[in-house]
Amino acid sequence: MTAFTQFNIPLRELAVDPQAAAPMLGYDSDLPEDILAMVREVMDKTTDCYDIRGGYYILDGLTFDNDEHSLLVEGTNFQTGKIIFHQLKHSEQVALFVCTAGVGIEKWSKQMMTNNDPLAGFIADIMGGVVVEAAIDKIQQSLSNDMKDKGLKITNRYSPGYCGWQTAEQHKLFALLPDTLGIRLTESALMQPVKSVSGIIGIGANVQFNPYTCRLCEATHCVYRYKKVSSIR
Amino acid sequence: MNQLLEQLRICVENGKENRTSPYPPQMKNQDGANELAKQALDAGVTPGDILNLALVPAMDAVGQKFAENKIFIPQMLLSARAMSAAMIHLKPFFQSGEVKRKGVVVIGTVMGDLHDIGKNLCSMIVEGAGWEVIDLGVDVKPEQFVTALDTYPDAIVGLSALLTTTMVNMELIINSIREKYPQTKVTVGGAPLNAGFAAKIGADNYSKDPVELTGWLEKIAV
Ligand code: B12
Repeated sequence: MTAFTQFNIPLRELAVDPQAAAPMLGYDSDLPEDILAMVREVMDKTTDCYDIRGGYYILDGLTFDNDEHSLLVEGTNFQTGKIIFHQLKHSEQVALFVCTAGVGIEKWSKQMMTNNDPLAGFIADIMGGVVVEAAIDKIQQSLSNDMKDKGLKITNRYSPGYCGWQTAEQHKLFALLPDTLGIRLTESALMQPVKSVSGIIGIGANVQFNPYTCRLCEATHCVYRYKKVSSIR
Repeated sequence: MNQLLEQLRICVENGKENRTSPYPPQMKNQDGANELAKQALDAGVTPGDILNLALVPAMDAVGQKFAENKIFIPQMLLSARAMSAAMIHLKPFFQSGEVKRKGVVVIGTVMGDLHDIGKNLCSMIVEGAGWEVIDLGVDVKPEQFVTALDTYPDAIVGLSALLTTTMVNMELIINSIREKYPQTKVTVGGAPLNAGFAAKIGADNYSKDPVELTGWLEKIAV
């Protein structure tokens, strides 16, 4: 096991595009001017709310089970389901990751909700999710660059709760991750702060990265469906 | 119809909260829902008429436009905010019992789950549709729902969950409720749910969004 590679990312380094919130706010095209202005205003007011941290462990010694669609690593057997299994099965190593936007944005949102500004509260909640996604994009890009230097490629990132991998498997994932980031997992497999993501990335000479992630996913009603093209290269 | 009520309806429908609110731009420097509700009361309009002839129809129109994809959640929230600005003036009349609402909806995010934005949206829209909403918050245990029903025995219950690991707790809650209140209607919602799951756990309804939810409430309200 290598050391945990940790990132503390200042919000400005993410250069978050307010339009990234459009699908989550319910729009199927760009945000109209007035709503865009409100999103910008909320972003300006909440810059100090973020405490963005994340990182990954790289693990090797993988055993894949073709019948069970599972991956054994460090004594933990991940039942990733068929879809994710096939994306990972040529990996020589995997990176287990977590990332959080911090608890501040959640608190600010709740405060707005109770202070009679539900729209600001809603926008802040949505932006918390957008920010943590942008942060993990950055971390994944950094991993990709490091691996490229070694002549290796990475897969897309896959999370418990997606593509048939049970959300409850977060417990297995968290058992292997350090608790230095301040992310806690509840009994019901919910991460706290809520604006957090976790998952796995495959690494190897023969793995593939798919810029159009939605083709794999079975969540046909998802607001992001076909809108998401990965920025990782 | 009373001119003030008509103006109030337009303000709520367009999300004009008060005189100083900048939104919508074309209504700048005009009175908003806050001022107009007060003026209507001062002019002798009954609180019941303010609710039923201005606020509820305005939110109905908003719900309709949302269902037709003509407006989106942000505009709906601006209307909800304008609606609550008017409601502040009506609160004393609800408390005294002079104005009756359609019924009570007890809502909460189920135990083990902390997601509340979707539930909050539902609360606001349901309140806007003329219901009294008792919001129990997040991570709500079965006994908390039962206690709320002890106070509001005729209430309808709404349960929200956002993860597959927490939506299973809905069934436990429904069972606890039905043990003491077998007649209570329960509706469920949240991203990973669907109508099939709702039926399986014994819920009376699943709605994909708050507008569908108010439509269902309307149907079962007697
Ligand atoms: C944005 C998002 C995130 C963001 C923000 C999370 C948040 N919600 O705060 C981030 C990136 C942080 C995230 C993380 C994760 N997410 Co996520 N996320 C989403 C996404 C795309 C939108 C959620 C959202 O905010 N919607 C907007 C709100 C307003 O909608 P809503 O809460 O659903 O409420 C509406 C309706 O459901 C309904 N409703 C809600 N309550 C009620 C109640 C009643 C009574 C009724 C009638 C209706 C109703 O009305 C509301 C308004 O329309 C959904 C997928 C989707 N398209 O919905 C996945 C989704 C919720 N996530 C999912 C998962 C798995 C995760 C992670 C576990 C992944 C991971 N391992 O990293 C983590 C968990 C985080 C944690 N803290 O543990 C799954 C959950 C299902 C499951 N498999 O368990 C979903 C459904 C995606 C999927 N796989 O299909 N996520």
